Amino acid sequence: MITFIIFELSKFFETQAVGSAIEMPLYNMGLIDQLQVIAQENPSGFTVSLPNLQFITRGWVVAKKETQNSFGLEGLNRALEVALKTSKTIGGWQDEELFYWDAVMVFNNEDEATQAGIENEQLAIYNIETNYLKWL
Amino acid sequence: MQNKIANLALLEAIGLSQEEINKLEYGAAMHRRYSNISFKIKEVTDKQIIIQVIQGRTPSKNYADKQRLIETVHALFDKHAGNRKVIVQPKVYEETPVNEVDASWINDHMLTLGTKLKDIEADTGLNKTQLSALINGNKPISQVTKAMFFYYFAFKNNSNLTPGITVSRKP
Repeated sequence: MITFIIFELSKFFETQAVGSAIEMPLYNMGLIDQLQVIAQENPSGFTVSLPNLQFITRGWVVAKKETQNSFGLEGLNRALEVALKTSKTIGGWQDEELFYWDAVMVFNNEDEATQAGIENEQLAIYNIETNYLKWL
Repeated sequence: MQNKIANLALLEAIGLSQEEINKLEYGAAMHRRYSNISFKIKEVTDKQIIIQVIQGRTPSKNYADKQRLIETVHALFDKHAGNRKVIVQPKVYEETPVNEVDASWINDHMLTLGTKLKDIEADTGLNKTQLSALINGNKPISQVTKAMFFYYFAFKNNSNLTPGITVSRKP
């Protein structure tokens, strides 16, 4: 009985999945594949540290200008390459049909974040813990 | 192109410049990207602007209370409202109990209910290697899989799985 119900539940949940990749065995995936799974799960946006893929929950986040307008698989590759070489942090978000990626920096200090934001030609920086937007 | 702020045309109609519109859209995009906070212009009159603000599930798990959502709207919109009063309709995020499921939650429930890995394997069709990766906490657990585990243990914990059943969050 329990096997039947779980089987039915699994079928239901599979039909609710955004894409088939979400049910792939995660342990076998590379970094790019895992980031794509996280992106499917969090289309409004996310930021993770690399290579451990832990969600960033504190600090001021500043996007790096060299990864602006990076989207799709090519954009992910570019943002990942930059992030791995520099800030070890990457984020992404869906905008209509496209999924955008960027390398971001995370600061505990507001002044340092502000300076980094100006240097990276950002209009604003964001405190991910307090949901506070600071215009530059 | 779809606007970041729903019903933005209502603000365009009262004469905001393109530069102001762009700035509002940029700010709204950042709130959505980092906190899953979204905005909707509900009504614009000569005296007031009514704005709905909603926060959805966000991986940072930093959820704003009503007051913080109200402050967020005022910080973004007030300077563009002119003489109109900005009225905020906040809707805070309410966590679904499914989101409590993580490796620790699964291990606690396995221990409490005496469920072995081989039982889950037999009941779900997932193989042991997949299950171990999830249960050891080495890999992220998808929302679908969280829901599967939540209702799996809800069933194990209750003899009948019926709609509206109350499930204890902790074993």
